Parts: sequence; C-alpha cells; structure tokens
Amino acid sequence: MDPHSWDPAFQELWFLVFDNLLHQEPDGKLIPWLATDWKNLSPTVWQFKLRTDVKFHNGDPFSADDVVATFDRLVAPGETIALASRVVSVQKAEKVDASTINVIFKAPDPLALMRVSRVPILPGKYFAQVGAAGLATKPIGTGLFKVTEWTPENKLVVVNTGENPFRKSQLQKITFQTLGENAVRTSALTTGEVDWINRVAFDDVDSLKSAGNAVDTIPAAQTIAWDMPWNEGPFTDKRVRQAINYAVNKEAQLAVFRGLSRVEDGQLVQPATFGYNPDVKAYPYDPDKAKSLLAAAGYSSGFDTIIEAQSYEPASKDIALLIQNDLAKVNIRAKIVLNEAAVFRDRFYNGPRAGLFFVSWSNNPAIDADFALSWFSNTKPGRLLRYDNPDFEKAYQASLTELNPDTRKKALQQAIAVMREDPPTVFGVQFTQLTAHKKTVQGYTPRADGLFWFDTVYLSQ
Amino acid sequence: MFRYVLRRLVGLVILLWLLSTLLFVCLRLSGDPVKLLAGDAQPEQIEAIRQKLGLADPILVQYGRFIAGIVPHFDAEGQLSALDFGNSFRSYRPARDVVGDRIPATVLLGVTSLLLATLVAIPAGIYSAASQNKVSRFLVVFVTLIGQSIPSFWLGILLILLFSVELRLLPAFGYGEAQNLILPALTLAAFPLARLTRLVRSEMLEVLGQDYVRTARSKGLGERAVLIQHALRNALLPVITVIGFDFAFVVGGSVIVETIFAWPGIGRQMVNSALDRDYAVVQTIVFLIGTVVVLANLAVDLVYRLLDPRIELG
Repeated sequence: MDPHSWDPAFQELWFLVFDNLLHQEPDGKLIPWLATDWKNLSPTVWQFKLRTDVKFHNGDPFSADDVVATFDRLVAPGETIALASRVVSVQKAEKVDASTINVIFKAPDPLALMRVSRVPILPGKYFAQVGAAGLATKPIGTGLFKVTEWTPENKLVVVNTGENPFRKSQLQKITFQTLGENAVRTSALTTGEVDWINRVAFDDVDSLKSAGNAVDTIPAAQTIAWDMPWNEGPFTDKRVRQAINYAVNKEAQLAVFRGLSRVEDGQLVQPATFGYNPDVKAYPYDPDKAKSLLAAAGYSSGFDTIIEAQSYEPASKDIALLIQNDLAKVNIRAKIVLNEAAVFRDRFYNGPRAGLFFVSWSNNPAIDADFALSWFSNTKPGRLLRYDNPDFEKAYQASLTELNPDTRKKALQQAIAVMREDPPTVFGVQFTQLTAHKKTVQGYTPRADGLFWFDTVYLSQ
Repeated sequence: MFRYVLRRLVGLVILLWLLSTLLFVCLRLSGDPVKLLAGDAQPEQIEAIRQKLGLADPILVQYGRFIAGIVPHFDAEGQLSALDFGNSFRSYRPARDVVGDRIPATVLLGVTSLLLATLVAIPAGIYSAASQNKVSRFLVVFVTLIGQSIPSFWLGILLILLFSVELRLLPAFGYGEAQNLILPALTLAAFPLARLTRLVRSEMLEVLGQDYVRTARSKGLGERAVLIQHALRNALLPVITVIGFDFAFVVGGSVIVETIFAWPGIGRQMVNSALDRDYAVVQTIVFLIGTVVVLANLAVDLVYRLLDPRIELG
C-alpha cells in the first residue's frame, strides 16, 4: 500500500495509516493535522508549522525532514507515482527548522493548500532505506492505525495505536477483506461475518434492509457524463451536441440507481462544489426540440454512431442502453461498445472517439470545480482530446491564477455556463454508490470525497 | 524410458519458449501500462516512466531482456537466478515474489479439489455402473449431469447462500482455517467430479461386458474382486488421462473460484494483473501454469505406463 499510488484496492483507506499536513473535511474546510498552522509568505510560498509530538509506527519521530522527503519524491523527474501529477504546481519543499517547512510553488496557485492537503506524509528515513517496494509491502505512517497484516488485493488488518495526538477512534482493530462478488458481500453482511460493506448492488438494497442492516448513499462528488467527439463528423456542429442533450431522458436514468441519485444541473459539479453555477440548468428532455435541431444541422434522418461504456461498471452499461433507446427516437442509430478498464483509460487519454464515451467525472478530492473542468482545457497534459472553445479557455485560464476566491468562483461559473451552451459532453446524473452496515455499527457517515471514514465509528451492543 | 522423459523435457522447453514469446507479444498488443500507471501525467513524465520501466527500448531489446531473465543466469549481485520476469509495475516487487506468495493458497485449493473429485468420482462411478438399484443409478447420473452443467460462479454463490446464509454452517469467505476450504474446494471440484464419475461409469460399463470379466466371474471370484482387480484396473486408463486434463481445469477454474471466495491465490492475482497490464506478473503466472500443465501431462503418460506395461513410451 503506497499512499501516493492509486492502488485500485484500498485506495479509499490509506488515510487510516497515513496523515497529511492538513486534512480537508467533506465540506471543503481545511483542518490542522500534522501542521498546526500555515501562512502565505509570498504568492508562491506557503509556510507550515509542524507538530513535534508525532511518531511514525516504527518509532521514528516526525519532523520537517519527512515532509521534505515526501515532496522530494513527488517532484522528482520521472517519478511514476500517480499523486505526482496532482502536485505539478509544487516546485519543492524546504526545511526551515525541525518543525517548520516552506512549500514553494512554481506560480501562484489558488488550490495550493488543497494540493498540500492531499499529500500523505511518508517516513523519510524508512523510505530512504526500503524504497517504494518496501513501503508498499510494509506501510508505515503516522496515522491513527498501523498495519499488522497486508495481503495486496486481499486483506488488510490495522490496529489502533492510540498514539496519534490529533485523531482518535474507539475502534481497536479493523480488518478489510476484498470480496469481489456482490452476492458474497451481501451474504457476508447478512451472516454477520462482516460489519460493513461497500459497492452494494442496488438490487440488494431491499433485502439488506429487511435483514436489519442500514444502507447509506454516498453523496459522491462525481458526475456521469458522456464525452462527445466535438471535432468529429456530425458532432462538429454544436446543434447536434445540443440535440443529443435534449434527446436524452436524464430522469429515466435515475431508475438505474433506484431513484437514489439526482439529475445534474447541466454541469459536471454538484451544488456543494466550489464553482457550481446556480444559474445553469439541465437540458430538459425534449425529443421534438432535438429533432428540429438535428434537422437544422442537416441530420433530419439521423446518423450512425457508437456509445462506449465500461464493462466493469454496471451503471454505465445500464445507462448506455437507455441512451441508445433515447437516441433511436431522434433517428440516431447507436451501437454500444463495452471497454474494460485498461482500454477505457487508454481511450480516455488518447482517443480516438467515434461517438459517446462514458466518463464518471470526479470533483474529488478538492470538492472544487477545477478538477472536472481541467480535462477540457487545452493546457491539460496527458489528454489528447481538446475542447477548443476560446470562451471556455479564457474563463478557465483566469481561474487558474486568480487568488481572490470570489473572482475565481465567477471565472469557474463562467466556464461552466459556456460548457452548457456548447456542450462537449452529454450531461447526466450524479454517480451514486452505496455502502451498508449492521445496525450495531454507529457513527458512520459516507463522505462526498469517497474516503471510508472510520475515525468516528463505534460499535454498540 | 529415460530417453523418452528427456525428449519430453526438451519439448517442454520449446513449448515454454513459444508460450512466453506469444505472451510477450500479446501483452504488448493489449494496452499501455504507462497510461494506466501515470494517468494524467505530463508528457515528459510519461516518457520518464517509460524509460524507467524499460518500455522505451526497441521491442527486440525488451524481448532479449525478457528471455535473458527467464533462463538461468547470474544477476547483478552475482546470485544464480532464473524465471526473473522483472518487477511488478503495481507493487514494485519482483513478480516472482509477488506470485510466489500466492502459490500455497492455490496449491492447497487445487490439490484438495482434485483429490476430492477423484476420491468421490471413482467409487461413485463404479457404484452407478455395477449397482442393480435403478433409482440410485439414476440419481448418480442426474447429479453428475447437474455438476457438469452448472457454471462455477453460480454454484459458488448458491453454496454460500445455502451453507452460509441459510444454514450458517460454513463461512462465506476467508482463508487460513479448514472450514474456509470446504466451499471453494466443493465449487472447484464439482465439474471434474461430475466428469470423472460419468467417465468411470461408462468405462466400467464397457469393461464389465468384456469376456475376461465373464471369465473372472465364472471362475467364481467375488463381485468385489471382479470389480476392483479385473474391471477397474482396465477402466482406469482413460480416467488417468482425464485427471490430467482436470488438473489444467482446476488451475483455470481457480480464477473464478478464488474471486468468489476471496481466496488469496494466483488465479485472482492473474485477473487483477491482467486488468492492470502488469506484464511481469501475468507473464510469471502464465509461465507457471503452462509448466505445471505440461508436467502434469507428462506425469499422466508415465503413470499410464506403470498401470499398463503393454504401453510403449516413445
């Protein structure tokens, strides 16, 4: 378990074992963790005062050297770790004294603190000794829990050290087990072999509840939308992309989530997200309007296209079928293609695209519109697809360097408004996932940032 | 005999070379692991990752390094090494170690399933061939037909629903205790068990109609001696071949069964690694499975010879 990588298993759990300098609460508020205090020395330099009463699980005291070692790793040229791409604006971290560090940014960055809040701090000395492989095999952090057993992609056992000065939990030991089958997870909860499960199948909600379990909806900061190839064939015409947005019945898609979701407001972010535009509304379901727009664009008899969904995400497949049906009503004949994970990612970054393409846009972790919007910017590295809209680009670029929150919010909202009118995507519904737990598990609150938060959990008899 | 084994072993080496080469090519055609690892990294960062993982080299250089790692050689530290498929992209550890950790679980599950299948199938097959009781004969045929037709992912879930959820007798998942082994082993054994039973039954029926069996009976030998000493020994030959096939089936079937029961074996590791394009781990596992299957078939041929000295190997 390397907290800087996006290990598909247990990626929501690293925070049990590791701490960050600051922690972002689900409402976006930053609270002190390993750092007690922070201030802006100049537009590009943030100074952090560090706690002096924290120890790593192997006994090493936490100090400024560990923070420097952590950032050194992330900014090293050629670093393969996923998190590195999220802190590209950081130039380096510098030790001022044993309990003070400066984090220096390449340019003024309005998201500076949020970026820092996403960096789990590694044990510098231990990491230098054992390297990435050693850390992944035997993870050691300052977190509330220490790892006592770890079989990658199978089992994780953590034990409360009771030594973390700023985090407390009543739980003494937590065992996480990977159960790949929906039915097995549900069975295991029913038999009481486990207390809590994630990725609950929507079909199982009723039976789990009737067996006396609690089912929670995760209010995910995640939007399902369908990329359109805005510079290919019929999609080059803005009216065609608008028509598809009118043709798709978003309300009907809620059935996929048994009604436990909501239609997004014609944007990729939720009302709680910084930058959300309250004036932007969803495209209403209006097949007639769609037909007239298609006719105006010269496609009254429709065209052939494809819909690419993810083979491993049931909601994606189900919604693809609904959209296929909606499009048929306006004479657009779509074939569904299912991509597995590796193919999906390759197509996401590199294209090419021939039609609609499922994406679940995340505003995690910062609960800030920047993350979802950044993918549509011409300056976004890694993604070959470009949404060449000068108005969007202008507004978005302004948001990147604007340090005044109000002005920055307006810039993000402006970019969102442009996207609604010249849609590069088919706006959809909020992505919803469920967790379930026994009634004896108390204090569990699902979080918009997707972390499985057990600090507050306790067991009642 | 010795020359035969030697020749088969040479064949094994050639087969494994072909297998690994095919694997090398197919994996590289299947997708780019760097994109999976790096996600939205800067282009220069992606290039650096490619360099670091050795994926920037010409394909022939990569292939040469790949083959050089597999054959016995001295590594950088002067240690004798072989079967080195490189490091896992995902966990950074040598793929050999990643897979090595998983082998005991798969061996335990596979061997238990195969033993269970064989030990139940042979008596059940004999019984259903020799029994005069029509009902119980029908039952054996009926149950084996079902056992052979049910897909293992469905059977596994049904067994969990029955034994874990309804009866609360056995755990639905887990590893480490004897009771954890029962449901996965049953699930994995179902297909080979059914197939073997039907095979033993049909072979026995055929052998029991032969003249020498009639001779044995007319000599006044007991039914037990006729069945076991005369009929079974001849009926077993094709059965041994099928056990060899079942060995391969059990290895392949473990992929599904291990996923259902959260069994920490190589089957599950292989699926995850293939989805991650973790070349080194997939190569190690497929190479391992290939070796085991080929060796199992060789063993079958040798056992054949032991059971029936008339068979010439060569």
